[in-house]
Amino acid sequence: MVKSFIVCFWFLIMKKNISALHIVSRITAASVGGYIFTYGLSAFFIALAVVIGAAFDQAQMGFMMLAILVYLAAFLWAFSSKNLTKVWLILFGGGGIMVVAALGLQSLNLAGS
Amino acid sequence: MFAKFRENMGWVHTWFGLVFGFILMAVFFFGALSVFDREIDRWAIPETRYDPQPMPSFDKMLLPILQTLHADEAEYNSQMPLLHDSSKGPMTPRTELPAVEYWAYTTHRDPVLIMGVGFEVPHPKDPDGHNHIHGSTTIDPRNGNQFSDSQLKIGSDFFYPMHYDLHLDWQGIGWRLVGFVTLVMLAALVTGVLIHLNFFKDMFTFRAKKNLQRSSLDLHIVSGVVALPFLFFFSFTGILIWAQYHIPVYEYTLKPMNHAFEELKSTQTGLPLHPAGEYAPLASVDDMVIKAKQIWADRGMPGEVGSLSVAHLNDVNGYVSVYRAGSDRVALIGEGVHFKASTGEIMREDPPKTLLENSNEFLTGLHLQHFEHWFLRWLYVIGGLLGAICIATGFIFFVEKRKQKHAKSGVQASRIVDAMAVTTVTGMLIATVAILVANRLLPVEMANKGEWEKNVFWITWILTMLHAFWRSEAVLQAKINPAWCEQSWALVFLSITAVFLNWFTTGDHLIKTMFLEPYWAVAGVDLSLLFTALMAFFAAKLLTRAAQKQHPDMIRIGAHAS
Repeated sequence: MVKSFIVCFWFLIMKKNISALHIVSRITAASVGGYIFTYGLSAFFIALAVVIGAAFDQAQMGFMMLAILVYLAAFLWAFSSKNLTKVWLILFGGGGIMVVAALGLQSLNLAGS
Repeated sequence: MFAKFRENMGWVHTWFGLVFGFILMAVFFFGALSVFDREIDRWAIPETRYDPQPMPSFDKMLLPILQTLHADEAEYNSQMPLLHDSSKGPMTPRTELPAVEYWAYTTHRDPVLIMGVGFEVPHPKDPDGHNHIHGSTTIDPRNGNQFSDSQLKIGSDFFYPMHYDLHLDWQGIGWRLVGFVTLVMLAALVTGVLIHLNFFKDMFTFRAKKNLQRSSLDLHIVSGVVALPFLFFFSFTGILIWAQYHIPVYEYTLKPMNHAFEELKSTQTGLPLHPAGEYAPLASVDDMVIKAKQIWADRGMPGEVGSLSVAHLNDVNGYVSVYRAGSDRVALIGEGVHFKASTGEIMREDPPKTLLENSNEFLTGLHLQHFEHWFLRWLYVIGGLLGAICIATGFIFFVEKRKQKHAKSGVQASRIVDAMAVTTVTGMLIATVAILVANRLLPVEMANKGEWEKNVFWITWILTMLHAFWRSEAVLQAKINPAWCEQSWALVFLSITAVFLNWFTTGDHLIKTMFLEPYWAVAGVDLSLLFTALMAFFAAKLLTRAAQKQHPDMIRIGAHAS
């Protein structure tokens, strides 16, 4: 039964001339990439807010509300963008860079205090 | 992916909605039940059918009980090996762990009081971590009698966790999955609106009398649009409540920063983060409660105690926190007053909340709704059920749109989706009523009664799934799966049985609980069961009529295909 379900899924994909790899890549970019981007952005902005004087819990609380919408937007964008390579670069690459930047801001902040 | 934006959004809506919709059904349905979790508890544990009670005396009643509690066996067995540093010797036995914190929590809907102890792991692997193992108990606040753990609180300890973690405890996979499917719900709502944006009249059309494909789509869209603000708000706040655990920057990337903040906050508030390691006794907590109530009254907001906790028990750094119950507004608890545990002097009164804290508390508090507002409570149930209707009609539409084509080509997809829809609609309801029936049938003195009730729930649900798949061949012939109708009848029978069993085993029939000695917690559950029976009866009747009307041509096509 599961097999026939996959066959049906496959059929739907093939009909539109889109490779399964492409679909898997989209799904990965949306769910995993979207998550990493959201995580990185949250880390970066919370660290930035603390550096410019906000309390950690306040910064975290504030950014969590935005983070949900950021993930939602990233998730949908990953499916609607024409250029999948760009999606991967921005979500995974951007997320990674922002984590590194957050770590940088953190050590700057802790060294300063 | 596709050429058109709307096609892409349609793809996300269909496939993510389909795959994760089955989980969302459980989240929405058990969320709706959780609105009345305490009331379902009263139904399931007849000994607790009395009025909600205020927080009793800590010194006279709670403390002597707390001192006798031990760490929970299951939690000890799973956590102790992870937390304990075996290079420092053998594990401390469960009953010898030192108690380091106490807590008690109650709301305006709780006749019983839940309280507990945090025990410290003496030789932890990570000294900075939260090295606590907990133990808790439920008491009757009128006399201090403890209720047995084998009596499952079906509402607050079974249906409610089902709503937020599906009882999948391993590695926190349950709440993480629920978080992700809730994001999928948000995505489905946004894409759903985007797909139909140009057909604005779609959104307010319901052609109940047209064919099933048309009417299921209409109902899918109408329920989605009518409940859109509700569904979006609850999905959003549902994630928000758990957001910092879903995106745990404080625990990983920014752990040092958070750590520095905790230390700073502790020096600012004067509430010690760590014990001093020097013994000090616990002063009268009742006196502290009197002082806290006086402070609230002086501020013009007299109230009851909602939550009480003792941190760093038996240590000079110990302190007692008393929080006001939030029955009269959205926040769960608030206006904390903190006392030095050894002397009872006031250490700190929580300052007014910042705008951000207030907004956050408003959003999450509206989701958790511990406040007193029975009308809103029922609106929540209706909203939750509308969510379930929206998702379920999505499945039906998926099946109806494809089943003719699948019947011709012999593809099984619509058959499987339909069987899963049966499982998550009537099957889930049957399992829910089955646990209530089991609760009334199994003897009170039975050891692990609660565990058996849970087993009944899961086994029944699996049986309904097997039944749905077994009967699903009809869908291959483009007909309605007879399991829908059969399970509706089963639901009628079970729901009425549950109401009668409640009457026979406790003597609380509806005339008594509604008129003679009104007890609305129990009457409400009984009435809801009868309403379920009535709805299931109509559904069964409609399905029977629909089955008789099924076009003979379609059967021929199906026969040809198979």
